[in-house]
Amino acid sequence: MIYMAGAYLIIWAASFVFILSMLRRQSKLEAELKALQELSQEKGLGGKA
Amino acid sequence: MKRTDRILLLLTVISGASILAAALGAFLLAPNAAGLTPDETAAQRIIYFHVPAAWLSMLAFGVTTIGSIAYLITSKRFWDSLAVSSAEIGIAFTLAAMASGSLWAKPAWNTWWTWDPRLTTYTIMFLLYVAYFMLRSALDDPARRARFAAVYGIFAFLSVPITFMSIRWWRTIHPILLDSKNFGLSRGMLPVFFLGLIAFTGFYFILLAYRTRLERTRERVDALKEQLGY
Repeated sequence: MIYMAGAYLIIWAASFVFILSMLRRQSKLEAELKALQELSQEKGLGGKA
Repeated sequence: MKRTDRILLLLTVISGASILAAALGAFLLAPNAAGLTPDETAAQRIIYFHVPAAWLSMLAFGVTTIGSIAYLITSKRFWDSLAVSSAEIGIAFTLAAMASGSLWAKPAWNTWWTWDPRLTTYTIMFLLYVAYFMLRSALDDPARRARFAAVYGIFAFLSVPITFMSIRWWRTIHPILLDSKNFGLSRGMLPVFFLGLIAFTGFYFILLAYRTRLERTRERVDALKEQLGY
């Protein structure tokens, strides 16, 4: 049963790390997007992309 | 929270619950395989995670190919985003399938790894898709990167049917679950097996939705940077 639990843990750990990395990248990009939109509005470019 | 985000969140919860149900089924409901040692019997249950992970890796690379072909035809960035997103998920599931397979191999074959045709072709497939990301990271121009990656992605997919057929074409110690005559599982195992397969497939599409959204956000950031002259 230890092998089964090991396989289960590996797949869950891989999924968890992948989801966590996606969420981290998403929040980083959203912060960057917000900053760029503000900068774009300051420069009078409209801020839409 | 936007309506699409709420729907995605709801689907994520459903997907998580279905994977949990599949795991409980694999642990508690699936019958033991006959004619195996106690260690092999316990390890055999890995099939309920290992096969879906391997199936998803191949499905993900198939979606990458579809995205690549569609990009070459339409030149729409969405298809490139879909292709790269699916390739990344494919790599994650390839690693999960390799690791879970290795855990099964120890009690069944008395070794963690052997250069069996299936394991060798699967490793080559994995390396081909790692190279897909190396190629992408080497090109700065988005249109050029998408075009080159699309062509490479189509050729890399050739490794998927070869990997799938390797256990049928060459002498191998890897079990053949599905052949032209029958399905290598007993009737009692089938419901749990297919529940796992469906649950994991749903999970893949949820991951793909999140990963494609990430790629679209990255495109918006890149477009704004270009607009601002960065």
